[in-house]
Amino acid sequence: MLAARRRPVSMRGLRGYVLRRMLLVPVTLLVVSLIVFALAQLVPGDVGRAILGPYATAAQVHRLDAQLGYDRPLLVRYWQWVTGFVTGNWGNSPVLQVPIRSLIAARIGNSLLLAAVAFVIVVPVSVLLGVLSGLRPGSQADRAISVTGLALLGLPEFVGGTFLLVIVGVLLHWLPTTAQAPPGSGLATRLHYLLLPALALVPVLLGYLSRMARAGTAETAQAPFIRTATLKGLPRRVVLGRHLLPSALLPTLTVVSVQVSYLVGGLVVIEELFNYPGIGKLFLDSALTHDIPTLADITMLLAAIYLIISLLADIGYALLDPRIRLAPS
Amino acid sequence: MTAIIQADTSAAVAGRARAHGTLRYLLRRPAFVVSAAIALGWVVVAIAWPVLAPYPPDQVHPLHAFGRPSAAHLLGTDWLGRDVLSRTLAGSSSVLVLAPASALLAVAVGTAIGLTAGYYRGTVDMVLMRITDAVVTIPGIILDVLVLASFGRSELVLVLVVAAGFAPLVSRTVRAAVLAERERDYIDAARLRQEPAVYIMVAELLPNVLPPILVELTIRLGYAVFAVATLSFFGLGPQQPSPDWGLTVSLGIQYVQNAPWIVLAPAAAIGSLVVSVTILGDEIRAAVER
Repeated sequence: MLAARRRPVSMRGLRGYVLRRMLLVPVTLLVVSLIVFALAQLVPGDVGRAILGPYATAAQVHRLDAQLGYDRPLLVRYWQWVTGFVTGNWGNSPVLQVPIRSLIAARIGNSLLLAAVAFVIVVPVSVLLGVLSGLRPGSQADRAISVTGLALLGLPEFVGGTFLLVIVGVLLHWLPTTAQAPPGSGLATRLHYLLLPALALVPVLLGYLSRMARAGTAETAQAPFIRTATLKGLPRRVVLGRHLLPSALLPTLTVVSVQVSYLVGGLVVIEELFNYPGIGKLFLDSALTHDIPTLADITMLLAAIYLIISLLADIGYALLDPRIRLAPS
Repeated sequence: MTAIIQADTSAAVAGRARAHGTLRYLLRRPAFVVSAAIALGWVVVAIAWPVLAPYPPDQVHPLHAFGRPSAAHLLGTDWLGRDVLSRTLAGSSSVLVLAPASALLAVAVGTAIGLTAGYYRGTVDMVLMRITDAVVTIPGIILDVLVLASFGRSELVLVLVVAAGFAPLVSRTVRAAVLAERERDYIDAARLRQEPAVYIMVAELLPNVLPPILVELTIRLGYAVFAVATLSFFGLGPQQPSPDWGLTVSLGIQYVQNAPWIVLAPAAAIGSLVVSVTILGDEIRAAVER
């Protein structure tokens, strides 16, 4: 279940690794673009008919198809879509009749803010819980934390979100039940309104991160260099802070990419549950209204964000791990 | 010849004894027993809800809409005056068909891919694993929504798409187990006897990589409940007036201020099912890897 500790680098050194790793991003994006384009072609019926409805004449449908470029060959359309995506020329949403770029631009900030609030809550808490249980494997506290973490890991976000909404919002009145602050309010008010949706994103991330932190801590605590540090009389604070934690938490960093993948799924769910105008809600709305061009562009954007973050995480890991950083190139 | 048959039988007996020991170990674990009881309870409800439900789940009663929990309606009534308890019991049947179907299909397809890739290695292996890598790159739920939006909503497509998302992960596990197993002497012997490749894969390799496949099945079952429930919450699964849990939460959430019981009951039902299945999967994994 837990990803094995990655040792991404052989003796060829950091620079070669980073280069190869960076090259992987456009290659994977190309494969993703092929999958997305293939799926977009599978829409039943033709696009013009889907937009104009059953009462339009065949000539009208044909004219709209031509206008949208759906009468051109597949390869041409794929090329136009990919080059358009790369150059930022994303076209209009056929359903909303608005440029896709402005649709996404208006919402991506909201999603990033929500994701940031969730991460600020989840990272310290899960590292603390993970280290606590990893330092004393098998103890009562450890077993309680790991069973709870496992249970949280399996809980769909909308279920945990519903519980939080009902208990914290409706019954206790501690936090507002809508995610959006009244227009014109300051950042503090916006954050206050975002607290409940962000808390709803926490459980899944918490379960996974705390398990990684626990595994890393428990493994490192057994390492000879920790015993050496303890035996040479260093205070426990120094052993923990300077020797144990930096190497114990490295593997946790490598699962950041998995976390981003969970977070993207979680954002779609939580933005839908709290009716919050972010990119996840836009994604789901375009899926439900068959707005395939918007859907395809959002998917590509999310895949690109995901790939870049996991690239940064892997490079960060390589930079932090002395075995890799100091390896001869 | 007799010696070979005897060796085979004793191996089978040893295998059965090991399975027996695993089961005995599991039955002594409180976490396993409790979660197995909850999951089995929901299976019973999914089959027997017509007997258990106090009202027909689709019986509309507009005059009794938004009723608080009471003696007549233990969990209250929803926006159409339907009994929430009856709908929650009946709602178990859709997820308990769709999730196991997806998990079984994913494990079947993933096992076939993993056996083929692990047995042949070389080009077949490389191509299969690269495709697997690409599928894993897109977050699962995004891919599911994309396919369901393109193909149109249907429960069959839902099962297929959830299974397609999980199959690559299963195939990796199976492939790793096959790579270790194919170097054993009995595989060489089977090749010398000129057994066909398919026979070697199914009759020789498969029985010996069964434990990791069973673990994979229980773990995937937990994820399948998660995925199916989330997709029905998106409105991409069963449609109205189905009492499906995810659908009910997504429709009922707008009334949460005045009638929170409408969403609380199905949410608690999904929570108990998914948590028990997840813990069950983890317990079985720990027992098999013991």
